[in-house]
Amino acid sequence: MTTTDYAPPEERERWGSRIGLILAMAGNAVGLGNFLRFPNQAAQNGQGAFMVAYFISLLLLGIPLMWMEWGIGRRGGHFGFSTCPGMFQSLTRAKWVKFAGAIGVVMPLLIVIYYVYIESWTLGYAVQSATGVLTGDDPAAHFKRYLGDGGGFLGFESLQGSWEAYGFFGITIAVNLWVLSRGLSKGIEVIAKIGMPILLLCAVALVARVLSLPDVDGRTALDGLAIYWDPSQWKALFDNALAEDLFGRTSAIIWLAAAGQIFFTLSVGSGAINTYASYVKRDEDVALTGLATVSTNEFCEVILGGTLAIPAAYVFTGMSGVMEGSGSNMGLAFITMPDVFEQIPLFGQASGVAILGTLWFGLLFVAGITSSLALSQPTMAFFQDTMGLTRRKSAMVVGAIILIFVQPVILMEGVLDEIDYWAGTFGLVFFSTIEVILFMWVFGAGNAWKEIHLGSDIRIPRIFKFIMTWVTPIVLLLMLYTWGKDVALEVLQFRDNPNGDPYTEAGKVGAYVGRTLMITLFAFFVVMVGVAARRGRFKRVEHLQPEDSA
Amino acid sequence: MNDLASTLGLQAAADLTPVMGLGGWLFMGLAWLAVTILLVWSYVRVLSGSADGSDTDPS
Repeated sequence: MTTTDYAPPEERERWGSRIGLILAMAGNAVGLGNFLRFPNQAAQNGQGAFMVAYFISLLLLGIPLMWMEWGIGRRGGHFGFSTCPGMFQSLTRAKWVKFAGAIGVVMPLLIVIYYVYIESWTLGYAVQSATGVLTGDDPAAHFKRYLGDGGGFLGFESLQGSWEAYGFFGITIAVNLWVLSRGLSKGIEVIAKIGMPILLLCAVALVARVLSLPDVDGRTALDGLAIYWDPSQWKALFDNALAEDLFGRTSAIIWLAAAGQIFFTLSVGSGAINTYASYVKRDEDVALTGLATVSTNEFCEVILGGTLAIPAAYVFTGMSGVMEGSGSNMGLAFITMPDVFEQIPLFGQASGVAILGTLWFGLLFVAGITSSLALSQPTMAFFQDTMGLTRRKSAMVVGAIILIFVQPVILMEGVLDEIDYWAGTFGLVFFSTIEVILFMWVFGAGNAWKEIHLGSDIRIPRIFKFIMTWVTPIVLLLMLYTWGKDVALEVLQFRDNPNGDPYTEAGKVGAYVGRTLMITLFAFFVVMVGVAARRGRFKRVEHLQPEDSA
Repeated sequence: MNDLASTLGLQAAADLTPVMGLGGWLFMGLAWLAVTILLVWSYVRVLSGSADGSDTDPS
């Protein structure tokens, strides 16, 4: 294969329309994190205090990183690259950066491996709600049965899983790959244009029902909103003793949890935004488009996501129910919410599970699929524009990788949590730090500022140049230090698992398997980058100056 | 509905009851308003900058 086998920039895929791009990008950002992770994190990590830290993190980390990733992505795309190895190489002559860029291909792939599995649960539950299977069943027992949690699958005591879960996973992955193989404008963009309005309609209908719930033992949905907005808890951000007393968390953990949520919800630090942005033309705005993406995500998270699960759970289960539901990874969505819907009469029926459950899990499925498509696209693009594969072949390779590597996630305890922690939490901060240093310091703050403003529809307030150059990298380094010292080291040394509990024996085995899987995939993509480099794929950008634009 | 609480082994704890108060309403109101204004403003700017639905690809 020679360099001429690779698609030159003029043959690259493009977005069909700007609104399609924004909806696809918003679809990427609006995911399970908005409706599941956000309420969980807020309830568990400081409540009213969490929200203050959340908005500060949005301003100092989320929005600046969003603009930076749009800028890096569009510049990379101009030189024919849709993934971070080539994008990073277009920022500096240092040859090693392309290998650091491999993290931006591996991480979204690692996340999508378990994300698609969780997404398939929402499809399964939507179908089971609509067909009445969930009505009247005990949600906790049903969830355990659905996942085969407890072992015994295929006759092996140590294996979890169920054919039901496998079936819905098969359907989910098939739909994802079909859309990916259709390409940007005919696949991803079409799904975003159909899916985002459906998602908003489902969310608004559910919010309306939640806010009109009658009070139960004096508890109303509006009282439940106070869990997010009670200002008397703000002091916990700076008062460690109060934070420990109220939430059993240090102030630092509250800040880290809020910042971590910003990364997860906006999808910054995963490499997915860079890839989507690479399909934008060189002179097309990214500053306003990036801001529109943030605003859509925040509307769906703070207003819609915040008004659903927690207030509804509060009305029926009180504060202790909220804390118990939000304390387990998926308990709020798959156990507490079906339980709550069971208690809400609707259209003359005693149970609202059939309608409200379908809306809730359907909403989660749409939110999930628009995100999983975005997370799969970097790997798709890597095989297409670095290894020269066609779109269809690339989709098949991505599908094969997911199908192979998802098996331990499904079958073994602890693998999902381990990958989620290293790729979906710690990794996002780590990779963002590399991006910020490369873009603002190696490429240069002045060049980066110009790059973001090229063809821009708005002028970004100049204070953000200072924030992006100084505040964002310093905060990220502080986060890495604190996180590494207080949390990551515990996990790395098998003292506490990512949920903060001691590792079980099975969980420890799962953690080993998860880490082996992550290292294997990273090594594979580093080698692939090396192979592409030997074939001269990066030659065009290896000697660029920062001001080069053609 | 009380059955649900007992099923889950839950008991609403009075001392954990969140309190909204005027400050809470103000905090929530401002946050919601800011997010909504940002959303409306950005989409109006995007759509006004591309009156034709904006094809990004001339081809």
